[in-house]
Amino acid sequence: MKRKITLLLVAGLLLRFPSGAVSFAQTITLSERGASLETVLRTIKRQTGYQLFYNADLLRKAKPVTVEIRNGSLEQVLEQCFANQPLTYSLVHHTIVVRERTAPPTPKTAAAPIEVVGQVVDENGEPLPGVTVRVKAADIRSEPSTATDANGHYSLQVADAGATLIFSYVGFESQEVPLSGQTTIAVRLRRGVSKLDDVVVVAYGTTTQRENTGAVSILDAKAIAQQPVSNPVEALQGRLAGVLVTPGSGFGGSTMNVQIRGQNSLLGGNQPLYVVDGVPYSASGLNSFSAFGAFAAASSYDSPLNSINPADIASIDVLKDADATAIYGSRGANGVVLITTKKAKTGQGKLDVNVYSGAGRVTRTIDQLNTEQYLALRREAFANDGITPTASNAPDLTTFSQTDYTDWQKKLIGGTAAITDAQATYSAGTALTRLSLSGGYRHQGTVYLGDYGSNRYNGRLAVNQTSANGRLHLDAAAGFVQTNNTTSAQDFTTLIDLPPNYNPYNADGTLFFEGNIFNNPYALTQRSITNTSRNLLGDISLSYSILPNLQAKVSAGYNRLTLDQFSATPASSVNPFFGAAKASADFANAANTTYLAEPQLTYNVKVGAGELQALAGGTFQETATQQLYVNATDYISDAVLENLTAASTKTYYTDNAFVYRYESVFGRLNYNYKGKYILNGTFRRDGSSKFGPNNRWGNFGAGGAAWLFSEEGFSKKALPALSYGKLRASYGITGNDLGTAGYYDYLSTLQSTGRSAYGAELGLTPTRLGNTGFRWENVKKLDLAIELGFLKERILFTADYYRSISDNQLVGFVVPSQTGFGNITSNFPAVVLNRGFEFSLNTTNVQTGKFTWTSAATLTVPHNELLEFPDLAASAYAGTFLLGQSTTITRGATYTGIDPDDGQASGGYVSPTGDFSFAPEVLNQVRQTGYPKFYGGLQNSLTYKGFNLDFFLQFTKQTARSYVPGSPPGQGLSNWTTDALRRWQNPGDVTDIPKATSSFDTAYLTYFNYTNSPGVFGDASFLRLKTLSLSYSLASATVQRLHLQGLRFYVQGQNLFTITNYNGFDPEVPGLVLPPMRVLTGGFQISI
Amino acid sequence: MPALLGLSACNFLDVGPPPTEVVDTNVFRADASASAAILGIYIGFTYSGTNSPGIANDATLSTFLGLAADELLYASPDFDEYRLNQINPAGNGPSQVWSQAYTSIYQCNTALAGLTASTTLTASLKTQLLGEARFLRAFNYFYLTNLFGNVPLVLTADYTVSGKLPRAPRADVYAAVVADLLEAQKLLTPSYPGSGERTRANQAAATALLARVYLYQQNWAAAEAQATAVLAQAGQYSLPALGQVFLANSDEAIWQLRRSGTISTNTYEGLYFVPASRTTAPTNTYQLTSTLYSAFDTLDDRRTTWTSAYTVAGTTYRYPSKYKQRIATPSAGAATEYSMVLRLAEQYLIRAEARIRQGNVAAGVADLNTVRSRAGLPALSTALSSANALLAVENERRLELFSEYGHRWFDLIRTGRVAAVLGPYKGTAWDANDNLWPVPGAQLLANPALSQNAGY
Repeated sequence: MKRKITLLLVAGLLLRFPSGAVSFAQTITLSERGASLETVLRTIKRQTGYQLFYNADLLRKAKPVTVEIRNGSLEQVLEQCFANQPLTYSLVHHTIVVRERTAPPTPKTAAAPIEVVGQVVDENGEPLPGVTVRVKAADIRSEPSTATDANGHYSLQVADAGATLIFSYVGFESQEVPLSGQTTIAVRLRRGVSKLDDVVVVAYGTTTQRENTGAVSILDAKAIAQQPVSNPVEALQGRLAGVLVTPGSGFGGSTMNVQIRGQNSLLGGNQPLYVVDGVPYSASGLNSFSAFGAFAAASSYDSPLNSINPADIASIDVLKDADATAIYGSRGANGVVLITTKKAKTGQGKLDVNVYSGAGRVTRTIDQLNTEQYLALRREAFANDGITPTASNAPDLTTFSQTDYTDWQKKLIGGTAAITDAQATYSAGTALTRLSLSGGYRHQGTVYLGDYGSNRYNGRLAVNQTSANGRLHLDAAAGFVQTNNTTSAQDFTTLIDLPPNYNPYNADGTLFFEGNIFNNPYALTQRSITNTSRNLLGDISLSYSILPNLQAKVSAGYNRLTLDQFSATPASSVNPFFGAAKASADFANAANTTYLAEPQLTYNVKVGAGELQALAGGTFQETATQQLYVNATDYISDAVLENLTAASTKTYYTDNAFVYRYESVFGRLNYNYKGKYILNGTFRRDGSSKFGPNNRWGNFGAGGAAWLFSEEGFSKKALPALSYGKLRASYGITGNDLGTAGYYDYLSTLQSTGRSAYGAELGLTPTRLGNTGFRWENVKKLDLAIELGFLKERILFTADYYRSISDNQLVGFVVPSQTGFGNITSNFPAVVLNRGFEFSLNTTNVQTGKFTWTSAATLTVPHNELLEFPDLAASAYAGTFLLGQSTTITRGATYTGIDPDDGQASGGYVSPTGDFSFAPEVLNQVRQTGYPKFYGGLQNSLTYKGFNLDFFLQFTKQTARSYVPGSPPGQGLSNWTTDALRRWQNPGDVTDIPKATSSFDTAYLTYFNYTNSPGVFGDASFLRLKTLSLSYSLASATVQRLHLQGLRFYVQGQNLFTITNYNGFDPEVPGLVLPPMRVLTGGFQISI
Repeated sequence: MPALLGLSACNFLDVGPPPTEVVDTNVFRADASASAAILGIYIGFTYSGTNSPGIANDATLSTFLGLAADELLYASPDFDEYRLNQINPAGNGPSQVWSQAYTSIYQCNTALAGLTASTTLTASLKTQLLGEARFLRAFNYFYLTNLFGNVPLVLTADYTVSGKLPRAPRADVYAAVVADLLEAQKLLTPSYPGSGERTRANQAAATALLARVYLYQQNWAAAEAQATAVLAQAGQYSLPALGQVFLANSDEAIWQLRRSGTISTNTYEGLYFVPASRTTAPTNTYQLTSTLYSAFDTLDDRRTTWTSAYTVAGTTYRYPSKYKQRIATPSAGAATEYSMVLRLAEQYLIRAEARIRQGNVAAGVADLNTVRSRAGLPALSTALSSANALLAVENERRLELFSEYGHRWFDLIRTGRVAAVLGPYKGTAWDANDNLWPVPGAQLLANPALSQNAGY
């Protein structure tokens, strides 16, 4: 016989706070005639703010209630309601607990009942109120039961001294205790390990893992809090199956590349859709210029996600399959990242302060030559070429000191970055109104030479309000984040190959420049780029219950993201080679404003034995973006670079604006049959202004089904250890929101030549080849999964198989330059397949009163393949892609090693006819790069009394390009890695490093071939201790003595160690770019 | 209700044209925007920023072809691929020159179509703009075919057509160039458009380029006729003193390009040839070859006016100094030199060669002597043999037009003298296939109909 108890449990039931501070309505007005007791109690709940706690089966025994009372007290009202009931009530700390009226003492003929008393506490010894205590029996309705009071105490009349008591409480494991004659039973309940019933945020609503038909991975606030990161997405690294997160560089705030279940788009964007509290959030940088140069790749930009404070986030839910994402229609193809911010909780006012501080250094460095080794290499290079070093071709061998030594790597990127983060949150609430106010500050320095760093200030206010009759509900939040990020004008990592004997100063103390050969790093330290970003995010949602099962809701959102950039180049920092030393400054402002309105209607109805839930809604969105970029030169003085009026020459680089509108209707039907069979269907029709007038609308949809076979009788009989078993499947079509395409690509337009005038006159220049014919790009997604829970979900296992097929690829397709342009936006019928397996395992390994050890592991085995590409051999991508291979392969010429006879790399781009060539047939070596073979992580969490130790190991199996200097050993004024020590020197030497050369002869060309051959790719797999967090929470008794609500101390580390064979800086960020930081911080959290 | 929703939907998604751009169909409806579109083509020749090679941009032809021939050296090995005539098909040079030229041709093609269709422009402006577009298209194709040989002949803006075109025979390209220039001659007037500065094409510019095209085609009579037509305009064009030639709007200028008033660089030639420092050894500047310097007669004023030298640590470094200003003076727009594309001296030299080729050696040598006399050199005998007279033309062109738009390089190739002259100079680096640049590797991939030049 299945026990079916429905509990209405509200957050306030935790009852952690002493009474007094929370205001509850003191008087009640009621007028009911023949109403059900349940209805009356709910009315009382609304009027008083008291919570209800009852057994639904029990309430069915209640008689109709007739009550007429004006401004009565709670007790008066309850007395009337329960007057003739077979039930009684007790008031337990703002909760009305309903229980069966204890039968009057029976005549002496029966055995005398025993009164059993005791206290129920949790693992930490905290009393648990509201725990159900009952006698184990075949029919629970025939046996007495009770609930614990505010202090966890209970008392129960038991007829049989040999009976067994059952203690149960939501979120905790039930416990059975045989009386065996005892009359005092103290119980310690363990927190339940089942995550199955935790809230899962999905599109336009919430569900639980148990009832979900789609594939969703969740990172909770706790995992975020353990990582001292500034970008919330960074906290996802390695933790979620199917979610690959790689940083653009080690810069604080740099773009994070997030790929959910592979790369669907061949050439377009593969970034997921980000939605913050229901409002789509643009994750592409607004930068006009960055430390990587004015027109750097977008991947090096500041990420707007950096303007979301990780401490404000309650959970990050990643939607992966079609069932979960299709309701986002045209934007769901690459998955959806839902960021949900923390909501205020009911309770007395509470101030929570969290402060940590620490430092970071680069994770890994490379080994470079010292002066002696470098000079020997250079001399050998000249000797090999038979060239005499002179002041013009080799100042390092002639005019520079021959003994000075500077470790440029250490000097330029070997610093220590200071990190400080302080956050404070005040929250308070009654049952009707809750609010939370938070503010914080974060400082993060850099490892660079020079004084750079970022400061972030954040503030947020969230309010939730329910009307007294419970029908109207309002959620509103407004948050503001400002980040002032001052960074270098160039990534110093790119300068680490400066000659070790280079002296950046002249004898007179002025900066020394050497032609245009390289930048003086000390000149660069006088320059800076200041990025000031401001993010205002407001959202409001108003819902109204028209009928108990019909709800109308309107969500509205507003997001304004601005980036003000200022880059200063004082005259003193300018290399005179490039012209008279002249100060200049760059100014840029960019703003992205989004408005969103989403009306929605939800309807729940019983259909047969199941529950049908229907959702219908619409979206109206507008995003307006503008960007202005001005360069100013000819300044009156270096001191007033921030003053545009002090510059006599102003050049406008960019003045862009566009408006984007988006509109849709969407719907969802969900049918849940007895919690065993669940069907879910979604549909969305989207219109976008990015397309030509005839191609604006597209239809998307998906269906998902789940079967909880563990609820079936046969499963319970055959597999008693299996406490949860679910099979689910989904299939659907989602679209791609244009990836990298622009907003008016269907139009051929001209724009001002801007900074390039003809004399004083401006001209018009074409911007693009317009194409009115392109349409939505589609991705068809299939997902099959099994979810298993054993031993009351102490072991939870999920395995997913996914397959996505994307075609109709919307790309900036390369066209020959003879058309006037390099590419055109169009659909391309290439087909990309992504499939893979995702596994996640959550276990509670040990759970005793004092010690808990839980683990979570994920493993993703992705596969990415180009299935079709019409006329590939004849296309511009003949040398890039290969059918049947991953879309991220690197192709190169055959590399057969260093020729022992002449020391040159052999193979290379030589066509069969012996000519230098990039012809596809020459590019016969393929390297699977940019895409891991598998990746995942292992989280362990150990708790002993107040101590908590968490460590997370991240692993990836992959191949990447090693760090290989851009020029052959000995060529140019650039230092080499110590690999140069094993260079070819004499005929017969067998080695992997070519001979030294100083010129641009064939040895240079063969080296160039070598750097583009598979010879430079190597194993970049790694195992990394991503996060280590150790904390100690003071026992509650101690905390109370201190008149606090909580006190916790902790140390945290990020990227603490890495095991890898990678030849270069960091395997996560291959190439010559600032590696990520190894960070160690310590802090405390205090709740008042 | 759904109908109402649908209607509002249509309106909601209609965002209108981009706020910061002009839709192409509107450009040629108004005088101002039509003129701006043509100006945009000139501006394409002057884009700022180093390392963006183009036909007229970045002094590409003056520097790289100077290295490729025997005029220049570079102080670092950065451009050895040009000096050693081993140009990388994947490199920046061929790729940028090719794509910039075709972008410019696209602009010309769009303008020609838009202007022809337009009924709302002032008639005289429409004629003039059509003439300029024709001239500019011819200019691009002339250099494209001389650098790369056969090139796709794109005469439409429709990418579905133009993207598939194979390389057209050089003769077809030349025929199109001649047709454009003849048409431009008819459309343009002797006066310069716009401000009156010699920075936009007028009739004389079309005629002067046509004279050169006929010379390259060895159509001697036509070359002579066109050069004569330019030289006849003595009131407008004359040979000023050597020091005046490269000044803005000099009497010799037939067509010059000028940089934006807000760009501190004066001319690319000035930026690259005039050294930043005369007291340190050059690291990244161009130097004259001793071969070229020693070819100047000691009496030749061009040797002293158009070349300069400085000495560091006992070594003398020489460089072309036709342009004196490296960068503009601090106050904006103070550039006093414009980049010379077509000038009168070349017309004398064209006519001299055309006349000698037609057997009229005396008249040809007389034209040579006009140029020589400005340089302070004695007159050559009009009784020279035809062969010697032609060698004298080659020599005079070398000394008059050095480090200008690759004249030396193109002359050696068109006269078939390249192997004889550069073979001994370059040694083993010289290869018979080196007279053409490689078609950019990326273009071969983007358009399978293209083929590579021999030797690459």
